[in-house]
Amino acid sequence: MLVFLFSFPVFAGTNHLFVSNEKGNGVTVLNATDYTPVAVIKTGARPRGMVFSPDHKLLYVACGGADRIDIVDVVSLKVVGRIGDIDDPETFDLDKKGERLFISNEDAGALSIFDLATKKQLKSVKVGLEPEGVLLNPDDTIVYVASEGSNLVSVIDVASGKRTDIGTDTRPRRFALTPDGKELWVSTELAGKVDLIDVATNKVTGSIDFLPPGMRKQDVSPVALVMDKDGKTAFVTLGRANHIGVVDVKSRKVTGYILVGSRPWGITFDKAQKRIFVANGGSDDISIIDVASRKVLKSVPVGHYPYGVAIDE
Amino acid sequence: MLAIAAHAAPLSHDIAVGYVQVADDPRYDAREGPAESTITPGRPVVGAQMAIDEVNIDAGTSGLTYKLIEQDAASGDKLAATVDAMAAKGVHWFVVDAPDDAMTALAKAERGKDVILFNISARSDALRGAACQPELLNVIPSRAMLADALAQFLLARKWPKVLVLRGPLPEDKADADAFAHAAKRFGLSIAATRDFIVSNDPRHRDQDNVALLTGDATYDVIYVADSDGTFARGLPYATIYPRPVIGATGLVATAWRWSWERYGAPQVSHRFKKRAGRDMGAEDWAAWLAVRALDDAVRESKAADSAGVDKYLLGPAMNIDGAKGPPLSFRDWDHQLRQPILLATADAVIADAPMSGFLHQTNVLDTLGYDKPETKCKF
Repeated sequence: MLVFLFSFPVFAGTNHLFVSNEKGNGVTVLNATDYTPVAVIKTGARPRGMVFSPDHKLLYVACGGADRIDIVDVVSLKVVGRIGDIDDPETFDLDKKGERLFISNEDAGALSIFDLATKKQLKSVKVGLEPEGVLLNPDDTIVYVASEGSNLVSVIDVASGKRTDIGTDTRPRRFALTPDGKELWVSTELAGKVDLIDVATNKVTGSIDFLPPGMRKQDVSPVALVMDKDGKTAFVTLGRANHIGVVDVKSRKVTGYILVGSRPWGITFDKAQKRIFVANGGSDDISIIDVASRKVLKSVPVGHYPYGVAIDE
Repeated sequence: MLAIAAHAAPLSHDIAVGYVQVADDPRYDAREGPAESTITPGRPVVGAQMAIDEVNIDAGTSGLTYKLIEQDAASGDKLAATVDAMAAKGVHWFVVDAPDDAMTALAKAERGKDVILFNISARSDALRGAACQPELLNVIPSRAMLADALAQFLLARKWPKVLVLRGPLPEDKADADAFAHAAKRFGLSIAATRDFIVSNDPRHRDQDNVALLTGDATYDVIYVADSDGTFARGLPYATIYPRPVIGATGLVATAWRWSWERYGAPQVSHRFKKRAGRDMGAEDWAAWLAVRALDDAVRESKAADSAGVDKYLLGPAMNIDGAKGPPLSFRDWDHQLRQPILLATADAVIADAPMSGFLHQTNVLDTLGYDKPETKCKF
């Protein structure tokens, strides 16, 4: 019986891989086992950030060029709703109950909080220029926003809207929080680093430099990052350097580099954390990496300028 | 190595940035609009004003505030007096918008004084060569950088044979000279160099008739040096052979263009357009970048005085975010900002140089403009 179960894995979800194509104005859907194409979902212009609802029934897609967030039904693969009048949304986070969206408005230099039930904006907080990465802390009391044009990370108290700023290295982009919630990692694209912020004191306590073999510092532009559930290893997409940097979290040391496609941006784990999916914006494909061997298993073509990857299992 | 006089005025929390321009600068008053390649269609001070507001956003983390002190010099020869009067009141950093000759004279007059001048509009190669000064930081690309970008593009496209058409103005000669230098450097061949004039006089038809000017030669592409723009505007599609036009029109090399859409550029361009009511051009970008670069140096150096800031500003640790991709910094041999150059048509950026495949032993951005071994600059 056990053997049977192992040979025919039962998926709780749809086993679909979703890739937002920034210039393709759609989301490519692939089968997450054999990577065959399933569908292309037409969305608003410039789809970028994607987040699932907590029950994984819906996928929210930020369509910056259309000033809205499209809501995709994960089973029917249709756009079933939209939240309009949001100024140039790029990335966002969703609270744990799935009630409020926290969205960076790149052009307006603000973080806006949207109520999903009423589709109304609850609050807007001014941050620095060109806010990009947004991350809620585990109990949804604090939201972090990276303003790439001002070299700032804003720490915003969700209840009061009160903002504290932390200066970072050049062009902060995206976040990861260590599983113990104590350390916030932020990629700094033009510095070629990841800055480490102590959450208790809101101070930058260190940084990690990346330099894949044979590359130059100015070609290394870290963007997205993921950290495994036990907080041992982090994977960072290095943009123009066409590599993923692998970091031992505890020692803060880079332990290796994985060559992927051109300009890797979005990155995500599968649920078992055996595979990593990377969107290669410059080569219109995704790379699928085997975590254990740190090897690329396969590259699969998707749409034009893939930006983010999300998996429903 | 950096021969800047080491004055050490302690850094105030309110940093005054001077903005000096020549009143009635003729480069900005062409009614028809100059050639696409020549200059932005309005005074670039808006770029500096925008950057001041931006760097003041993070006043919370640094405790610093900036203000822009704007002053017009009645004419180019009054620039030094204007700068000196402001410097006497404690201004150390100046963003300067002035033509080649006036910028050259100003930089010479300020040599050894306690100032830093950001050049945002003078493209003269001499300012990065024989006439360079340690206090002058060139944010706008030199003619050589723009020409090298075009040359790399032609080589990458395998269009190596060029017909050069040259206008009568000194700027046209300077542009054509820079292009000839780039052609030699990258191995393009110049089929012919022909001088044009804008006229209908049949006695000058060898110089004013496009069909005659573009015939009787074998070439892949036409490079036109025409800072006035009247001739260049009518050149594409009027040539005797079907050949693309580059230089003053067609494909133009520039520091910035509204249609550049990578690396956060649309946000910068949108902010500018909201404020200025027009698209952001190269000099606007340079004025914006000068203030942003200064703020980066102030924040990252954590220096206690202006000398410390300047040392950092010109040093190797500088990585300025110019929304053009790679981090930008100043070359230590001529104080030119190393940066990618955009190659743009009227409605799109076709490529950004350095083109892929043009390599350099330390930084590929240094394949554009005079490199360290070639420089004529001696501080």
